[in-house]
Amino acid sequence: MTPYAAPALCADVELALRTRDLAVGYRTRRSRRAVLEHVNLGVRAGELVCLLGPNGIGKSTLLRTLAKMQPALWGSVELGGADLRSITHAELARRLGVVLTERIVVEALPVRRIVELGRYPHSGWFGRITDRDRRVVDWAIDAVGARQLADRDFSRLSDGERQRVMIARALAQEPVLLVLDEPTAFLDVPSRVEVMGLLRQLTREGPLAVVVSTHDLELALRTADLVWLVMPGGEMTTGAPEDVVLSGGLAQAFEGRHIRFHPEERSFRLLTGDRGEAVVRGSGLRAALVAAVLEREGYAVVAASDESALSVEAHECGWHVLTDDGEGNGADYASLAAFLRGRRAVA
Amino acid sequence: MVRVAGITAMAARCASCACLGAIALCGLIATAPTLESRSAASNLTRGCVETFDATADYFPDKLAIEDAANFSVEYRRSYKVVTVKEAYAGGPAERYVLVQCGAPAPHLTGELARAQVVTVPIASLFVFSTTHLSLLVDLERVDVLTGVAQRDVVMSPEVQSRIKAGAVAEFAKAGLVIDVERVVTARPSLLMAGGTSSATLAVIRNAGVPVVANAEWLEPTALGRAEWLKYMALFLNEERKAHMLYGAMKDRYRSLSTRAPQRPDAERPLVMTGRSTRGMFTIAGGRSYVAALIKDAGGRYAWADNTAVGAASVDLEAQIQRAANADVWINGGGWKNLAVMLEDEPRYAAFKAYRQGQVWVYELRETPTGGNDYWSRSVTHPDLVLADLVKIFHPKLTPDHAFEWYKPVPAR
Amino acid sequence: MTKREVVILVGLVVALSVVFVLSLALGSTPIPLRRVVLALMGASPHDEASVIVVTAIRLPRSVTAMLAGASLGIAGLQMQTLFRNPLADPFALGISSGASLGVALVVLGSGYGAAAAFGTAMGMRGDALITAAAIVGAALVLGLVLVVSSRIANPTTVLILGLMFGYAVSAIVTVLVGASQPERLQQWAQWGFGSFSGVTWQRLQLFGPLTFFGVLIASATTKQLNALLLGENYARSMGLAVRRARLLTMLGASVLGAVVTAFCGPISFLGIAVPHLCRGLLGTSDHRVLVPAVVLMGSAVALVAQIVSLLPGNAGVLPLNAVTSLMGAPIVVAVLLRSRRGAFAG
Repeated sequence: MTPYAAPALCADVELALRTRDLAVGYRTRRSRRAVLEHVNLGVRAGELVCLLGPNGIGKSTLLRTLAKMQPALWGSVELGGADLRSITHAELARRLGVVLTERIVVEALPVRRIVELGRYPHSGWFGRITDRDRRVVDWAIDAVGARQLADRDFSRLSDGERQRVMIARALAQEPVLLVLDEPTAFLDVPSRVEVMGLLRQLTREGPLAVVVSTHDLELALRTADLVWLVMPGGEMTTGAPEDVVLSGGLAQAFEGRHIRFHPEERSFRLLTGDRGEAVVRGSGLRAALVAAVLEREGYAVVAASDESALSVEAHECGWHVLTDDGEGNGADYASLAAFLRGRRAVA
Repeated sequence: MVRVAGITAMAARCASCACLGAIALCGLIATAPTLESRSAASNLTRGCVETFDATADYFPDKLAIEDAANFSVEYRRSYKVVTVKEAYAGGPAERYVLVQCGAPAPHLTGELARAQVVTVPIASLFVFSTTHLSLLVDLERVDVLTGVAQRDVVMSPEVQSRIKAGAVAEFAKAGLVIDVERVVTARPSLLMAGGTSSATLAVIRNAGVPVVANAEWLEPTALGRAEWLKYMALFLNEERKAHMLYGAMKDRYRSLSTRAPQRPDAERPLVMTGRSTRGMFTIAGGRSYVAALIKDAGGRYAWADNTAVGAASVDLEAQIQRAANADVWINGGGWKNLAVMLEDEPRYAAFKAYRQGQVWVYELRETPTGGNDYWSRSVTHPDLVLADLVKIFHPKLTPDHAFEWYKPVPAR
Repeated sequence: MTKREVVILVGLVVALSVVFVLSLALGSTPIPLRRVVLALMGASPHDEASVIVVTAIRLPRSVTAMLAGASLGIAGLQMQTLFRNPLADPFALGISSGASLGVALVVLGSGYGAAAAFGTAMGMRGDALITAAAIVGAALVLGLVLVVSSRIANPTTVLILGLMFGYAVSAIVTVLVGASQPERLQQWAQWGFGSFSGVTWQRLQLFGPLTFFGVLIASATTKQLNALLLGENYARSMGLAVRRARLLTMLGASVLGAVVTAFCGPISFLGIAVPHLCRGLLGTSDHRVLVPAVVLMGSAVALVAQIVSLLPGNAGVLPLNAVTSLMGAPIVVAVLLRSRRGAFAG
């Protein structure tokens, strides 16, 4: 698959972020070790970009380099047209906000103060807060839906609430770009969805661009405008989620011995089929659920098959199976699973 | 006091022996040259008894202790029992049994059986404190000295020449920690310690070197401290000499100490002592020998009601409250001149004694390298210290006295 | 600032004033309050003993205590935030040991004669020489630690470095102590007790401006300290020049610690306890509130320690160091137990 063509070739919209032949990695006294090379990427205003890839491939390194938290090995990064190297940290903080994975432990500070810290690049000496600063802080708190948390002690919040506050803090910097390094790593599923939803909403509502790395593939594919996928060899595949799905890159990056990527559902399934085929008669939710149980028990569910396939009927009150050596039915899926397991023992 | 009772006893015994036989007597007399006569005219300051006579009194010269509170002595025919009441500050009493050399070990019971035994007169001596060296010097017995704690702080010329002659070892050079091996190898007849307790001393004792305490610095009076001259004499059998020296010194002391304090109060100056570091004044305690000297010299000590026997630490505030109007300031030290004093502590200016230049220190005989024989000699010559102080407090009383140790701190 | 915080700060100002007056009224000799006030107003003859005591002894001592307490408090706060460690204090980089080494060389060492000669040549005597030696010693160790730690990213490692250097230097001091004469040991021990009484008006001319401006400059790092609360990564992302801020903060706090140690001897515990006290009292980690609080509280606690050290009255004076430790330890324990999770926990 060809790398994503840099937007500059097709439009002269100024990119929020752009890299030119960027190489990221580590520098020791004697050598340079590049983790990713020849990276040419772009992000437009109002775009939500998800950075995907297997563990340890260099996603964090890339994000840290984009945020100027570590130096690039070679190549350049441009933020709003300006080379990162020519911007001071202080100036950068006015344009780029960062949210990290790490759990911050701060005692005895209310949420409002944490978000106020985001005004650091704008506030005066001694950290004085003006009225305008306060308005921005209020807006940021509202934007992440944390208004009722504003006066609570930050250390008493749940992990999900805390990350939302950290996002609010980054927003308070009034950046044009937000970079988030696996912000949902320690969150529970509802919180993860919430955070991604929040990012989606922020990019929709204004010119803010967001680059977020995540392991939540399915959620990413649903919410991202743009996907940057790092393949095992260090190449990058970029494009709209559907383009990346079609490119087979996801399968290449993530499939393993027991995992397969299903493009239609845009999700991963555990490998099945070692017990033969099965056909599900019925439709709707019940049929889908029966298919799920069959798959878990090792059957490959097909639409139609010859006689040797196991046939399961899914109906309003449960399931019904008729086989050569037995018949079974039940109302819940645990009993179906038990039945199928029992069959395995026999066979 | 010298008891001459020995001669009378001798005569009585000779009379009862006369019937025993002239031959025995001739035989005895024939070997007389190396035999001490039973009626020893004085204590044996050197050598040992060759033939012991159980009925003879080997210590015809006996000492009485008048002013020292911290030690006492009892005489028996062939040994003395010396008791030091407080061997070190707050410590227990120690008793020593000094046996005449050549006499058999005496039969001792009870506590005395466990007491430290020293054979006298001693032939060699290790001395810990330079103050004790001057005791030896005064008794003119530097010849027994074989070890000092540190060679380079010795001030006395007699000891220095003996050191130069190589006869004196050094046994506590670094930090005044005793080098046990050196002491034990040298095996002196006696180690005189400085009146502090130490586990090292017990080790040395166990190794066979007798150790006795010299706690003269715990005496509350100057005379008492000086009388420890007699303590040293006990180990050398030099009772006669000690008696004469101490007696003469005490007479001189008394001649002043009975006159000066009799002056009317108005003429008796208020006296302060000490120096200040970082807001704390280190002064002489109200029960120390310095306070006693001040009183005997006809002064009024600002801290006479203080109970410390040695030095005491008082807040600068308290010193100002008490002594801002003191007439004389003694026993500070280390100041080149009055101006330099102010640099150290500008609040010295609050004292009248300072403003009037009446700051006296005992540095008259201080050598350029910082040595000062005040520390060693003043202990046995409190009469000279007293004379200096009387001249400071009552200049008209002794117009002819030349200062021995005290001088005023110059203005510049 | 919340209303509660303002109230507490005002309360601290009041408490400080009260303690200040107390420290002038109390001393080892009783002086009625009326006389104290008269003396301060200059309404009494200036050679009267009580006037001298109040103006030449108690007043400079109290001013010194306030300056020292404020300096140690704010330096301790900086170090605790910088290293994210509740046990950090202004001397964490070996300052105290370095100062001890300098003083030990002058007071105890065989360099005594040489140092005294050098000092006389420079026009310094006694106390001034000791102060200079303490500063030089502290500066040397601090410099060493900073140079070695400039290559190290992890703050905790830097702390450990400082600790190790401190131990090594203390070992040298111990050797000097072992080889020295008993009379000198007395002087050395006295320095080790710590004291506010040794700083006269004359020496305040140097100590005052040094600490005053030191505290001012330290206060100016409030914004950086707040940013550092979130850790160095986030602080950098918000625009803080982390390495420079770290270096300047360490330097500033250590210099404050060194100056106080040089003039007053080693004073333990104020640097650790006062920030914890303030955090517990105010219930916030916001340095905009903590900094003024620490300055006020530090001054007050130092004055209280001074007063307590005079408790034995006629029988003497308690070593200042002992008082600060005896006061400080239970306070820190109480504060940590109260806030269930403790500072920087997790």
